[in-house]
Order: sequence, then structure tokens, then C-alpha cells
Amino acid sequence: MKTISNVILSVCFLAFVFGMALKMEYTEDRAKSYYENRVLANEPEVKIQNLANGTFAKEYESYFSDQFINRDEWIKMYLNWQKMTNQTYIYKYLITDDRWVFPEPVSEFAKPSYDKTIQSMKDLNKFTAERNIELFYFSLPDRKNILDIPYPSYTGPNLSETNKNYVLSNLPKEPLHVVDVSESFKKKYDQNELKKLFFVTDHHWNTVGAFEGYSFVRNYLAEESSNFTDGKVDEKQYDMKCFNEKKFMGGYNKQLYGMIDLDRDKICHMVSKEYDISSFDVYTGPVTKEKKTDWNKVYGKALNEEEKLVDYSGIFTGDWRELNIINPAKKEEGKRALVIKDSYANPLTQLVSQHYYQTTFYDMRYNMDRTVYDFIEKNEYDTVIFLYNNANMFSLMYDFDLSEKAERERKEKEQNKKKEDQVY
Amino acid sequence: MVFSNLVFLFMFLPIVLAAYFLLPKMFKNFILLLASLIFYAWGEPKYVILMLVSILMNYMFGLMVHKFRDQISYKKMTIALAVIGNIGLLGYYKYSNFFIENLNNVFGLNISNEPLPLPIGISFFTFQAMSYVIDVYRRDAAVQSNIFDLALYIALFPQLVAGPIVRYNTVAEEIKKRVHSFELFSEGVRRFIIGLSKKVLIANPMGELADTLFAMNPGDMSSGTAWLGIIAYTLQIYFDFSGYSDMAIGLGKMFGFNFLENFNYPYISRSVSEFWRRWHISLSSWFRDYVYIPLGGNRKGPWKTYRNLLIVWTITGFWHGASWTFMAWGFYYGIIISLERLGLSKVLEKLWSPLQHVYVLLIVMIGWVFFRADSFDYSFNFIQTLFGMNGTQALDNSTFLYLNDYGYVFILGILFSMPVMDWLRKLLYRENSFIGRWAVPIVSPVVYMALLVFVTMFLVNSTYNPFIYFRF
Repeated sequence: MKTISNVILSVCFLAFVFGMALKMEYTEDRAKSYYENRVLANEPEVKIQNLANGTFAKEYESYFSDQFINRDEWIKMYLNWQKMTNQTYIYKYLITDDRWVFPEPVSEFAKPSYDKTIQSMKDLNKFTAERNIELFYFSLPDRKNILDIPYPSYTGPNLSETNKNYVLSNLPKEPLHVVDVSESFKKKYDQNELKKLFFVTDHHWNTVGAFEGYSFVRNYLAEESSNFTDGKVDEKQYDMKCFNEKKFMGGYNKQLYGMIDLDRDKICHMVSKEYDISSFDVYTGPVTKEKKTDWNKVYGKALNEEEKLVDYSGIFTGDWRELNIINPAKKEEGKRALVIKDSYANPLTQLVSQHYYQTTFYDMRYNMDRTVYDFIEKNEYDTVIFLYNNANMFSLMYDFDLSEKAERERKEKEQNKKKEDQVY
Repeated sequence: MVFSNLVFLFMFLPIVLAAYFLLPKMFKNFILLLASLIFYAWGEPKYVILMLVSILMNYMFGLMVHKFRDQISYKKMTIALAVIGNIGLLGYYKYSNFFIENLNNVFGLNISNEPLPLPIGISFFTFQAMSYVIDVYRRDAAVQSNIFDLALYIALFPQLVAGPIVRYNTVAEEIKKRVHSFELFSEGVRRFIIGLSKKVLIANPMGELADTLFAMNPGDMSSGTAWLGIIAYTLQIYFDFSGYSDMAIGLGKMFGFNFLENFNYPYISRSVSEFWRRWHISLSSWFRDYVYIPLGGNRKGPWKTYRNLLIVWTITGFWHGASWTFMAWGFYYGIIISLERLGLSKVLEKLWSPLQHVYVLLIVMIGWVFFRADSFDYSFNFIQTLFGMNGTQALDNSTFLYLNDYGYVFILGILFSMPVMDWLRKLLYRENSFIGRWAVPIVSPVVYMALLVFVTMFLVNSTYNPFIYFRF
């Protein structure tokens, strides 16, 4: 019996190592990793120089690892093993018993950065006041800040609420309107209801949550903004349309190799009877002929494509550097709104843009070559609206005059010079 | 190249096995030598030349020692040159920076001290090569006139970069002629999978934790966390190194070689002397046979015995790395082993056996602090934290976090650092039971293959996979 056992083991071992080696050899290389969102390594070229200096070995190991047979499946197995062994975080994410995914708690109170944010908002407030431009700051409820996350007791305090309160309480009170939308969410809904407003596997709100946020923003503007003429929201004017043939791959789930059931989240849009979206003109940049595009190439783009898996930016609007929407029905009123936004505003583009003749969605992350001041001056906006989630408090997103960028570049230059000095 | 690497497992190994077993017998040694040189050159191509120089040098010294076998003074001069040559090679690459740094510090000199990268496994293959020439000198081994066979002995890839330090005597016969069988091959497979599992499933996670904690300031961690750090390192170094030895022994068996054991459950020892009879056996016996005994061993009275012990253990420490902390670590063991010899062992023998184990583990773990830390300051601070002497908390959030995340690895590590498998095997095979005769042989291939699949899963995900003993 022992001999048979020896033979079985030897054969199985050889079959496994040889089988994998042969499969590696005869399987076509993949160009890109969907889950990691990166280009995978190619087989390195055999060159004498690379062989001699050892770079070939390193490159070949990267290639072998990247192109390993069923790599994604191995990784998924490993992540499930991590879950089975009750790891606190898997790839830095907490997966709760009911399979919700949350990031690690915020442990940093970045006071210097928040103080810069506060000062930037003060400066902008002064600038807009001098030009008689309305300024609204809507602090939208970030998923990880508003939901009670069952972090284990040993993970330390979550400072996200502290950070948010510090910044909001120090912003100027007028003429800037600071509106903490999350507080009204909390008053209106309990935790179970709040969970229905957010994706299970992504860090954003879902269509229901976004519409709730829009309703609050609209109702507030209807009361407080002289440039807003459409009145409060009438929910009867909106229907929800869901796309059941598509599957949602949340940002968190993607980083976890899709280990959470893809049916947990629904893909839906709010469709309005108040306006005809096809009548809007859309520009993925300045209002010029060259930048004009179709609405369905900007909003819900992935829903019109063959790919079954869609992500947040594919359901709603992506993060454009500058997106202009013209509502011809509002031409007579002629009001222009600048919406300084992050990705939480992406489901709101069509909803908000119905209220103004021109609405510009402006993402600070992609505008690091021009100042907000120049942009406002040049485009003569009547209203400036911030739609930022309340985890978005770092000063880089408030660098309206690019002073922080200049400071960072100056420091980098100094450091590079130091490094050069050390070399020589 | 390392064994716990996808390229080794699923490219290098299958190619070498195929070439080795498919080609005629006369090519087998050539295949192994070529594979060994590629294995070494994979990560550090330029240093393969250094190894070839070492092979050539020791081959010539071997021949010369043999030629002068009846001319004592020439023979002595040749062996002295061989030792100087080998130590010089090792010293240049491993110790020259250390010596220059200390000369500069002590005498205020400014000798240029460009850091030299350490050729992997240099300490291992130099000691192997040296033992060959010394054995020929002592007539404990026959001279090898075939340079390819000697090259195969020195460069044989299973034990090339991290031991065990194989004596020429052990494999001289097998280099010429060895037996291949399914039994030996499957024994090798089993041993290789066990070693790989030790390394990937226990040593790597423990190493990850130890690295995290030893990167922290000891003043910023609780006693509990510091204990987790040192226990993690204690388990890492054992499973890392013994795992590598298991893989080396297993691969050796696949190719028909029988290397001697290098570890024998050292953490179950009841005295430090016993610990060193069970830990890195090939190194301890090397120093015993080539340094301690030639110095006089215990044959020249008690004072010289203690002197010899301190010398040997300090050198042992220094062999592990060019720093004062390694030397202190070796000296520390020299003192403890001397104390045990002086009578401490008799006192220990009278203690309740669990206390004997606690004594050894405490001594060893404190030793590992010096071994792992980069400086004496850090080591002393860490030890203070361990024993709550610098005002840190007993436990903190991190302690519970790490216990939660690594708890099962700690349990596996502690369990398998004891001979549980041997106990289990004895239990199952008792009285030719049905389980021992039928169930185990059927289930065991499944278990081993499951382990291999499991290890592959870890390796595909692995970003952390160092071998501690590569730097020695």
C-alpha cells in the first residue's frame, strides 16, 4: 500500500508542476488585469546585457507572476481564505458579516491640511461676495461617515466625523451657505434605511441616495437662491429605471477581485418627466463645436455597451475635467452655475443641469493647470455650488489659486536638489 | 533563485526534472551542474564567476594537499593557504565594510568604504569548499580529481545558497553513483512540500508581522505586542530556515542524494546546549570539527575549554553577519553554554520539566532580539518593553489586532515546532492498525497535494517572500 501511495504522490506532484508549466507555455498572455486596472508584464526580451545585470530574472519573475494560470482565481481563493481565517481587513477592507465592504477607519486628523481648506474657502467666499456671486457648499454624506460601521473594538477610533465637524464648523457662515446634508439624512432615516441609500460594494451612494441628496439640494436652493426658479422637488415627476441585465462591480469589490456577490447592488437611474434630456447640449470641455457630444456618451455610457460588468462611472457620469450642459429651455433666464464637484455629484449631473441655462461641472483633480478664480471670472457664473462628499476635506481639493500646488512643486524641487547634491 | 517562487516551482524544477530523468545516466551530473549554475546566476549573474573561482581554487588546493600528503611542511603550507584563500574570499565580500568602518571609527581614519553587495550563500559554499580541502588534508576524504564532480558538490543547487552545509564525505559516493527510486523520489516530494509549506504558510506571515513590529519604536508598543513580535520572529526564523533545509533535503532525495538533517525540533530543548545540538546542526558540527576540536576542544583543561567555547561561539555569531550585534549574540551563547557546563545544567535537570523549556525559550528569544535588531540600543529598549520596564502598556489595540489576524499562524507555528507529526505517526502506525496500513497511505498524497495547492495560492498572492539565511 505504501508503494502505491508513493507512486500516487509522485505522479500527482509531477502532473501538477508539469501541467502548470505546460499550461503556462501554451496559454496566451493577457494584456491587462481587469481587477487591478493595470497593464500586465510581457515576456522580457532575452538580451545579453539584461541577463548579465540580473534585470532579466526580475522581469521574468514579474511576467511569470502576472501571467500565472488563472491568476485571478488563485487570488480570489486567497481572499476567501483570508475571510475564513477572520482577518480584520482584507486588502485594507473590512467585510462585515452581512458582506458590506468598508475601508479602514480614518485614524488621521490632518489639521494643517484642514486649516488650509478653511482658509481657501474663506478666500473664495470673499472673492464671490465681491462679485455678487452666490456660493453654496453642500457637504454630502460620505458612505463611511454616515453609516455605523461595525469595526472591531481593537481597531481604534474612527476620526471621520471629527474631521468633518472641524472643517464645517470653521467655514465662514455668510454669505457662503454651508449645508451639512448628512445631518438631514441622519434625522430623516435610521441606519437600516440609510444603508438602502448606498452601494454595498462601492464607496458611493446609489441612485436612491443620490436622488435623496439632489432633493435636499434642490429644496434648499429653491428657498435660498435667487438664481433658482424651479421650486422644490416633486417626487411624482421621477421614475426609477433599473438595468437588470447588467451587473455592478463596485470599486471596493473590484479591488477584492469580485469576491462579494455581484447581485447585491442594483443599477438604476432616475428618469424625469420634468424635462427632456435629449434637448440638452453636452460639451466635454468648453462650449465649443469640437467638444460637443451626445448625452449617452457621457451619462450611463457603460449601459449602452456590450460589457456586462459596469462600474460607478459607467452608470452615471465619469470624472470630467470640465463638463458643460446647456439647457435651451432656460435660455431666457440665462443663469450660469458652476458646480465644483467630486464623484458623489456624478449621478446628479442631469438633475442639477435642468435648473440653469448653463451648468459647468468642474473637477479640481483634473484642473491643476488653471485657477478657479480665473475660470469664474472668465465665464461669468451667477452661482457657485460645491457638491463634495464630507470625507473630501483635504486642501488639495480646495486649491483654488494653485498656491498649494506651487508650494508642493517648490518643495519637490528642493528635495530633488538635495538628492542631486548628495549624489555629487 | 529561491525555492518558494513560482518560476522555480513551475518552470525551473519541471525542466530540470525532465532533463535529468530523460537524458542518459552519463549526463545526469552535467545537467545538475548546469542547473545549479543557472540557479545561482538567476539572481546574481556576476557572482557565478566568484563561485567558479572558489571551485577552481579549492580543486587545486585539494590536488596539492593530496600531492604533498607525505611532505608535511608543504602540506601544512598548502592547507594554510587554502584556509586563508577561502576566508579571504568570504572576508572581502562579507566583512571588509565592517572592518573598515570600525577602523575609521577607532582611529579616526577616512578609508573609502563603498558597500559591497553580499553574494548570496557565500558563507555556505565557502564553508563547504573549505571542509573538502580540510577533509582531504586530514585524509578523511579522498581527493576529487574530476573538477566537474567537485563543482557539483560545491554548487549543487538544493543546498547551494542556504545550506545545510553538506560535508564532502556525505555525498562523495553519491556524486559518483546514486540510486533513484519511486520511494526516494516520493520521500523527497513529501519533504519538499513540508519545507515549502513551513516557509510559505508559517514563516512568511510570521515574518511579515515581525518586520512590522521591529520597524516600530519599542517605546510605542505595549509589552503584549512586543511579545507577539519576538514570538513571531522566533517562529519565522525556525520555519524559514528549517523549511529551507527540508526543501533542500527533499530536492536532494528527488535527485538521489541523502543530505544529513539540519534541524531536530530545537524549541523543545531543555538546555541551551541541547538547543544547539538541534539547531542548524550542520553549522554547529562544522565549527565543532574544524574550529573547536583543533583549538583543543575540552581536552586541555577547564579554562582552555571555556576559552575555546567563547571563541567558537563568537565566531559562530560573526559567521551570521558582519556586525557587533551578531558577535554579541554568539558570545551570549558562549557564556550560557559555559555556565551550563560549569554546573547550571545540573541545577536545570532538577527543575520541573516545563520550567526547563521556559528557561530555554526565554534565553533563545532574548538572543533573537539581538539577532533581529540593528543595534544594541534597539535591542535593550525592546527587551525593556518585553518586561514592562519602560512604562508602556501591558496590552493595546494592536495586540488584539495582531492576535486576531495572526492567531491561527501562531497556533500552527507553536504546534509544528514540536514533533506532533512524529507523535501522530507513531499513534497511527501502532500495532499495524487499519488506519496506519490503509487509510494513511491513501489520504496522505491528498493532504500533500492539497498543501502544494495551498502554497501555490499563497505564492500567487505573495509580495513578501524573503529568505532570512540568504544574507549569511
